[in-house]
Amino acid sequence: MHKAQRDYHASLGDGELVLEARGLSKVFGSGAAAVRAVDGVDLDVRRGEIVLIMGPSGSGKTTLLTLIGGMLKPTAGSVHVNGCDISAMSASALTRVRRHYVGFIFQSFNLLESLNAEENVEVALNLGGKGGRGAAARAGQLLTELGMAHRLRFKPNDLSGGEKQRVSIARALANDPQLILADEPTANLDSKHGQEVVLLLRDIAKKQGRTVVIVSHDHRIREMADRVLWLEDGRFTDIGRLERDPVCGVTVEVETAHPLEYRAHIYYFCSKGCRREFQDDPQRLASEAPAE
Amino acid sequence: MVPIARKNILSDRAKFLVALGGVTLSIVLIIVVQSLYEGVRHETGRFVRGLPGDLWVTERGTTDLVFSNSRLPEDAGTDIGALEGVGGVHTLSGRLISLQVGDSEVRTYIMALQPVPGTAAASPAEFTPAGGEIIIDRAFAQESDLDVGDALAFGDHRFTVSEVRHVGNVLITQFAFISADDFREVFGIPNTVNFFLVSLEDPSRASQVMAESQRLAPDSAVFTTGGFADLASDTATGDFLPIIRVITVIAFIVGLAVLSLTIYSATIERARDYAVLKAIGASPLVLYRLVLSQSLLIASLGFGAGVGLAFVFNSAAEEVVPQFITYIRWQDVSFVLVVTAVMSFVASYLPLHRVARIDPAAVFRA
Repeated sequence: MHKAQRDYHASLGDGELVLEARGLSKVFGSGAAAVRAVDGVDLDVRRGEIVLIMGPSGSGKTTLLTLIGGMLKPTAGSVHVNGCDISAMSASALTRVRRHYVGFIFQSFNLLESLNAEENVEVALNLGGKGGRGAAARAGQLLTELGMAHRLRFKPNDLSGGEKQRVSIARALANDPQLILADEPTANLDSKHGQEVVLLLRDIAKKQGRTVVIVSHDHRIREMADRVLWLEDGRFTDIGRLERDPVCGVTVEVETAHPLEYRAHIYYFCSKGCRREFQDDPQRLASEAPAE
Repeated sequence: MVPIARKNILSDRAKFLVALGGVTLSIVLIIVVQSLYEGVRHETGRFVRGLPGDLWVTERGTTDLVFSNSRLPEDAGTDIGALEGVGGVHTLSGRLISLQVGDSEVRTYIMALQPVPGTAAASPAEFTPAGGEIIIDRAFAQESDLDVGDALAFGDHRFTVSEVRHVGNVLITQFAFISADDFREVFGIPNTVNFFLVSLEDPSRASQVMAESQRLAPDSAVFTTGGFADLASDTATGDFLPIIRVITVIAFIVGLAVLSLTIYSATIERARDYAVLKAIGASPLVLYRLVLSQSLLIASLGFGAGVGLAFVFNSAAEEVVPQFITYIRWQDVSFVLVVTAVMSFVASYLPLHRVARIDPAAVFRA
């Protein structure tokens, strides 16, 4: 367990542990071509907690999410959700875990295009064993609570990005799971809708007492998260100073970022490409970037 | 439950209509061809059973009325009529003849039915027109543009149409009746008839009468009417059967190919949806049921449309081509229903494999 987590747990006390990962590893391929996407990760998340996992592209964030969501079997280590070791479960048992104990929110929403908003939520309820008018009523209620009462019969193609993400959130909550896993939930949204989703995620954790694990580069989520973890090369590392890339908006660790000084201020970039883009029009991009 | 299968299929109307059209066409083709086959079988049997008599005496080796020739000595009829248990005997003679209608030539199978003198057989009016008259089949009348009062000629002999009705239509020809005297004069071979139709007074003596009749008419065979009807039906459709089977297989393959391609491409296009459903907890069984439901939905709609259209097509075809004779049996519709179910199961096979391999983690890829 790295320093940030140790410090955190020392301050947290004994809340109910909803997610517990120990020595979690995932290796793709074998021999010389083997890629260690997740490498001995330990992670404890408690009820009502919001944990944000950040890190550069290819650091293993999404693989970690699929492991703790029971979509992928770890090469080594264990994952406990609500006290059950899901890493030892069969594929059919994992299906039940995903159906009842974990809710997923995706970057690209992943709504079924042929169904309307209400039906997208109702499908999840059907999978959870609820059918008939009760399921339809519950789907409508969930969407209404998320401010979608006027869009129940709209197909995904007729919804804005923010609305689609609300439907996706309602679907994730349909079977009342304790654990919500969100992969870049604001990445495809504009600033206003992104902010709305951030607030919804906060409410899900703080008002409903659910555990929320988010993979994101969004600085607004960083601000409301209880903990921010930095994943690099498949391992959690002590988080350093973070800055926002003024070109792409990605949060970068200062130590490993590409810096550039402009008008007595140092800007940090996720890649040389972003730095080059900044250099092409520094005045505009610097004015758009919030002062750190 | 949200009807995902129906919503998926109907979300792409063009693809749905193509698939439905393909399956419907396949079903129509199978039913129409099968009904044509059954039409000939049914009509041949119906005609034989509709003539008077419980037993048919034929020359040995004769299998039907049209495709084989039967010759029996005329005087054997009197001896058969004298057997115990026999109520009456008719002679039946027939020949496929070309007749002149105006400047054109038409072909029909002309027959004559006559009670054997000295037996108690009656002359049914529906098969025994007066001299110089001819009763023709409706399909033949339509095809040859004939009506009551029109004349047909064979050499110097003229026959006036006295009645147009459903006499007998076996696709390659239709039956017509003239009087026995006219037949004997124009087409007859002296002292020879084609068949004896024996009516039993005492049905319990059928087997004895059959054996005795065979002895009295040398080189003959004796059948019950039902037996000869079945034999004639088999003969009339025997050459046809392999063709029917080939067309049925082709129609099945066409329907299967269209349905398979539609379901497979729909599965590929919606691979992400299946991954999402897997990710949120759909079991493999739920996904297999979804694929199969889509296939069954198209197949069952295609079946319904196909059966309906087959009736419409047969009816329209009989109007345009009068000889086109069809008979749709519930057994054949049931067979096509089974074919349709098999089609939808087979069409789901590859998509099911595809769905089984879909990785739920694919939902995290943007």
